[in-house]
Amino acid sequence: MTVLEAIDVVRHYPAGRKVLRAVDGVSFQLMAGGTLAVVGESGCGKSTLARLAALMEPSTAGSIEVVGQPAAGPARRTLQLQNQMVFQNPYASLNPRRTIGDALIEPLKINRRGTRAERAADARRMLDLVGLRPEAFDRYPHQFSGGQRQRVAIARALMLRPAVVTADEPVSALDVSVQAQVLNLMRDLQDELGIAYLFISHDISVVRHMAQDVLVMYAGRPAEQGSRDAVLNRPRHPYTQLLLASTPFVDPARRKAAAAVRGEPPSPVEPIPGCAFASRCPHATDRCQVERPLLRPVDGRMVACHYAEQMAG
Amino acid sequence: MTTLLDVQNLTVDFGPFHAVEGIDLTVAAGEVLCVVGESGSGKSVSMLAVMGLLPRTGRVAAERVAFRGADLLHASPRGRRRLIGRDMAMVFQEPTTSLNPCYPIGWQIAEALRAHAAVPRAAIRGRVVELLGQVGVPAPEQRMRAFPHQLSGGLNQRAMIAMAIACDPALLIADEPTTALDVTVQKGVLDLLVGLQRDRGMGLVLITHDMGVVAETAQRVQVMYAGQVMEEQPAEPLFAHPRHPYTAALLDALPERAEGKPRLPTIPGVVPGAEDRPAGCLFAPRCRFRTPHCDAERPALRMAFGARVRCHYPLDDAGNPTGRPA
Repeated sequence: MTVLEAIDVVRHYPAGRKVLRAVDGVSFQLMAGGTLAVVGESGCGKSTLARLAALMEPSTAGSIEVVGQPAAGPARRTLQLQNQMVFQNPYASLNPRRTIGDALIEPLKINRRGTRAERAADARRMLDLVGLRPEAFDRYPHQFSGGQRQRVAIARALMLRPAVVTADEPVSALDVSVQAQVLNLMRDLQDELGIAYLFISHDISVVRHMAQDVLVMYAGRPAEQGSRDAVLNRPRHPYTQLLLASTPFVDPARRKAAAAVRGEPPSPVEPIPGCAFASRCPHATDRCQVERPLLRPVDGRMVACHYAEQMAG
Repeated sequence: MTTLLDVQNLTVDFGPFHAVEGIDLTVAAGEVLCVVGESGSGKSVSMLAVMGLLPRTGRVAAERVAFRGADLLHASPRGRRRLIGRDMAMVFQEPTTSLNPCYPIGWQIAEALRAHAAVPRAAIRGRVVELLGQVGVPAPEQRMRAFPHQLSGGLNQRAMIAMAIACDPALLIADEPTTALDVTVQKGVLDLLVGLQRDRGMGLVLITHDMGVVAETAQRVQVMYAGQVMEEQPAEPLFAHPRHPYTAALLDALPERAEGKPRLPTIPGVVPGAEDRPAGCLFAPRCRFRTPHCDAERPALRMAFGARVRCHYPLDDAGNPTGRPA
């Protein structure tokens, strides 16, 4: 069952007289209990896509469907509850003046779920589920470490039993040992509750560990998307290849001797007639400068490159 | 190889909290030393102490902090300033907060040259352009007039590096220089630092929490935990055969090393704080090989299997603790 679907979603922001194309035509499907990772550099539109998918802001064009229903009109409000968010910085996403219990109960209160006693009981159950002690209920965020706070943030996102949790860089602010704990927790909760994750990350190793499907974004558009094994093990888009080659690995066998790329992503306010990656691509031709590559199926995944067939390895 | 930086038994306290406890550290010319550790391990604080950049609340003590044999610990502020920025320089994590938003980057790079009278006044402009070119900033003549907010994080970090290497320092300390940057940009910045180190025979201390970065750049690695050095080894054997249980656990927790496993191995518990600092080994409460001896006696840093290890039972090649009572 598809719990979250984006169909050609676009988000433009006004930028003076110009238009900033943050997300420019992205489609994906997320299945119940599955994980789709969105990867890309800062400014590629992955966080905007997360906010659109979580119905936190309207899309300029295209549509989003949650649990099979289009998120438009009066249904939008109720569908929002089905897709909850976990943010990157657990120090900023919890109110320092409210107890952990308050934070967990608030979504229930706003949506008038249960009685006061039921809400508190539910919050305590959730604390247990995310591996926090019962005492945490009456404590304040400053009494917790970053990893524990992220557990609280995850617990809060789960209070309304959403079908989807959109996690925007949930472990980027955490140390390796703590990161492992939080990733394990997310996998356990997925197994237990059948939630689907829209997992935004820049860390290829984390994505490889967490996701079945991967969407690589560049300059607001999908560069390559498909199964994890296809995209990360046999990338066809030069940008995916570059991203993998730039990632530092501990294992020497994984490292690829690649030259660092020159240049930076293009300005999101200047319209690009051709391929957005052409200015940095080692394989770019004249055609890439003038003709935008369409996302098309090649070798079991979707890829937006004119020369995807030749890009094996 | 000549020793550039020589630190013996460095301790930094903030009130009752031991941020750094007895660090030894040496860096030779042409060497890349990586200091790796999680947040709160004291890796940044120890380097700030060496540079004399800690606030007054930090109490610094050491047997020796010497740069090319000259004492840094008791140097006058003036004497220290003469060295810092010229012979030893530092690059910080977040370029946009380290740069002054009110001045163009070219002016800020020139400031380092002016302060140390490194080149004649008339040659400063040309040197700034040259430096920006060296660190891979495109169109340096135009970019030198740009303000930090007009440039990307990667370009700002390159400007910071240009500033640090302006006076051709013998030693460069880089504190998480790529943590705020994207991987594609990170690669460029790391290549640049290692290239400078190789071409100029500069000593490079790279502080990082990213094991991948360590593996790709370091020659020698110091692993820090709760203010102490837990292990020190050349990079290759460290990743092949970590000798300290903490290093081993840290490497196991990397998603990269757990491919195909549904769960990642974790390290239970948290880094000790000011109140719950153990009397014995600092890592003992989280260690899977802990014995009563570990709780009773804090291990010293000693040689085992060619590495310096602070553990009573250093790990053998198979990852099993040696000499541990069954």
